[in-house]
Amino acid sequence: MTRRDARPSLLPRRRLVRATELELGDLQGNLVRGYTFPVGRYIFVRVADAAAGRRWMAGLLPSVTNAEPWDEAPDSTLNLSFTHDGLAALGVDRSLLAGFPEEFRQGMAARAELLGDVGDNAPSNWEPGLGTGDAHVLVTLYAEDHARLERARARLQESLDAAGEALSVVHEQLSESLDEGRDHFGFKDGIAQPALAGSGAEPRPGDGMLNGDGGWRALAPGEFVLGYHDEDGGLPLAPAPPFDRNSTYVVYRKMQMHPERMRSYLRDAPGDPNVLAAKLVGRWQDGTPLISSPERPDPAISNDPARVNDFRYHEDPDGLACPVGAHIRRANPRDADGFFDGKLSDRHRIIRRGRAYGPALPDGVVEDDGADRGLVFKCYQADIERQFEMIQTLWIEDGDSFGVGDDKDPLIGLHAGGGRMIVQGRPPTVLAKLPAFVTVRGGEYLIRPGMRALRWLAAPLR
Amino acid sequence: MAVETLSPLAEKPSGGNVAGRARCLTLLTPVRPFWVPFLWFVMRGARYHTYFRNHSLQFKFIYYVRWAVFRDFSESERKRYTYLLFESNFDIPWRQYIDAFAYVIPKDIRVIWGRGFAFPGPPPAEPLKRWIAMNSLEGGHYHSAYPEASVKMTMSALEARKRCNRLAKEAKGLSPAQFRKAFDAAVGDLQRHL
Amino acid sequence: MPRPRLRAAREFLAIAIQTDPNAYGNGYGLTALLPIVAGREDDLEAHLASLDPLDSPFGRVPQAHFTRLLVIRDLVYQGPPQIPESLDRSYLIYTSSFDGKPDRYLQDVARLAGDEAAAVFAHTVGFPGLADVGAFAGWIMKHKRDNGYVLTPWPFASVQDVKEGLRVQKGFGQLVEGARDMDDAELQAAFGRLMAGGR
Repeated sequence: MTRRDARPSLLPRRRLVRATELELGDLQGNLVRGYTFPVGRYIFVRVADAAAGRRWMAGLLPSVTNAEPWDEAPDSTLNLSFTHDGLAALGVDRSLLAGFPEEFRQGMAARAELLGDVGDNAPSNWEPGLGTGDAHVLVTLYAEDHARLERARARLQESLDAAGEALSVVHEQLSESLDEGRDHFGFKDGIAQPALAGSGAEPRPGDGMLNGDGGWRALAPGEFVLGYHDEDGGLPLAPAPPFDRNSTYVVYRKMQMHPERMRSYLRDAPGDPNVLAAKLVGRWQDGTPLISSPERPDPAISNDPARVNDFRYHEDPDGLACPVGAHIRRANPRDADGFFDGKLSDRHRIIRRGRAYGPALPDGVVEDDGADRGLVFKCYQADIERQFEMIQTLWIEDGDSFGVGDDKDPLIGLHAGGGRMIVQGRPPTVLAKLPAFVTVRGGEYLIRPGMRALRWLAAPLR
Repeated sequence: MAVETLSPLAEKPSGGNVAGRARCLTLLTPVRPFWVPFLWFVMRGARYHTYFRNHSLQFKFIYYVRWAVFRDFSESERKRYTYLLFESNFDIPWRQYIDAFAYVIPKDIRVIWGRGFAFPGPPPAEPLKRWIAMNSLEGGHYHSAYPEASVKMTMSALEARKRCNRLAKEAKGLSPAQFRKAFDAAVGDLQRHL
Repeated sequence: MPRPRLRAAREFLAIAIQTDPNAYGNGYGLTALLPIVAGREDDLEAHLASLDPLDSPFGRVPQAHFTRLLVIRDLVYQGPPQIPESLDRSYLIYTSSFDGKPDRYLQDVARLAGDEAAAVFAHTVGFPGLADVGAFAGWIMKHKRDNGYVLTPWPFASVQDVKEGLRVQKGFGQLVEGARDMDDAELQAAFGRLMAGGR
């Protein structure tokens, strides 16, 4: 797929990117084009013996789903990623491990203070198996329905049992999409995704980056996949072969959501709860962007793939349509004030592939029913620190980039009861004493190697 | 490079160039002989126009920045080359700081440093970051008089104080109900500055 | 001309006519290079590392916005075609951005920054001590290097202006958060207390 783009003079010059097709056969699936299966399981396995771990992996390899488009959807998909401790447990030698980036080597738990994972979100409060160094291999299974999923899970269990004590499951999570792709706060989630050049997927307007000419263009693949040129024109820093090509880094983060807190807070806040909820997020519940329709949701926009994500912020510098601190405006600032037409936001995009988990809270309930529900947040990027971590530390847990000082993201920031958001307007609405609507229950940093690298990793130790 | 791995809100000090939200980057690099007079002229002339000033301050993350040019390190030590000392105090991680200059005003960077030896780019930004990491002077001690405040917070604070002083003046002789209205008007004016 | 534009024009003019290249509005950027006594670099480094950025002796000088002290042991070679060169000795680079005149600032450092500051400068060549504030100021000024350009977004705001602004901003923000729960008289009184708090 050739890249057509307008080249305004201030865009970074680069050596002409090869009109590279992504090697879909070597990439694992779900990265370039998301799976649409509604149910899935995330199984974290601990490897106690490298040789046994490799034999197990070799047995799984034929089932690993790659990125080639399929004519007929498989019953289920299977993919593998590895923490740093997992690579070590599989016998990858020290000098190769040393070539991985520092944040990956440290792991998410060790970086809790940086990420703002303190108090209720601190690793000491995380669910067992996450953040302790025991999560080595993440096996993700997706399927069309529970029956198929359980069959795939049973097959996986057989392979684990065959390895005996050498392998154990330290953490597992079932996920299941809610109706209409909504999240537990009632919002259509996952609408905005970066368009990747060479993916073969038809990008929607707004998915990519601003091309300086009023339109959009896809991002260079190296922003998300190692071994391809990125938006700076070079190759992203990568570990040694075979991880240097067709790999991506994964951030896995279990985010428990508290819709009952959201409902009671909005009920007691000044104004229409539906309007306030939209102001927190930046979209109406049906996905209509506030920028496109500030007064009310509009199905003509939300049902139209060409319009649901096609908007920009430069005409709303004061946040009157979409508050400057709203969630989607923070997570993807586009051409908001201070980001210079996207030049300072383009290199901080992430591909999100999360899924909801847990039963929906019935309408109207405002008390905690004790159920565990939320979002398994998962994102892909070529550089965890520049992409996920920067968004988390600079744009979510802080507000200064948007001119709102210490105010955190209203939806997912760690508020501890004293959070604040000013909804700009004439007059403005001040939302004070925001509680935390989300609690981090655990997470890991992983690498998702290409197929060649998986075969290398599964080869018997010499 | 031990500059920043702490979030802006970290309590404990780190290295010699982080204080709350404030970070300091100091570079000392040689200037090619033929470029020295031009550089001196460009710098001294910057006071008389708004080009450099607007370009640097448009990002709203610089507290104080300076450039000094000299060859004499002491009375008894004059170097072969003239050196450019650059010190910038800013409030975002240094990599994002360089991105801003490299992607938005690369020409300015090339004018000041471009005639240095082996100076890379920009654009692109990554080789420039490596060059800066190589040249960044580390360690030492750093202090900010208002470490909890970013540049934008400071600018907003100055604005808030002005507006509140005005409100205080108005408030004399207002009934409580009238004051509430005047207060709400001030809140509307300051909604981007709190 | 609208008032903000008029003020900006006046400020620009005030800065343009300043003849001291280190001055920028009411601000001043001091850049000094102090030779370190041979062999004392490690001690000085260690001492600087032991100082707390959030409780700095140099912060006791009320007019100082930003201050940095660092040890430079040698020059960084950039690569060909540069001819490599080294420093004969290590230097302490001492920079500070402050309000007002440098002599006044340095005398205040001598008077207020106390033993910890003396302990820093004690590693440098020719340090005259802090007891004679004039001698200290003169000694630093002898080692000053002129800046080619100094810049700040608030050339006419002092440290006190900034701190007072932050205090008012924070207090007003709290009032705004609690305004719904107060009656008009309470709000008015609370605002009055906020504005009186600066005195």
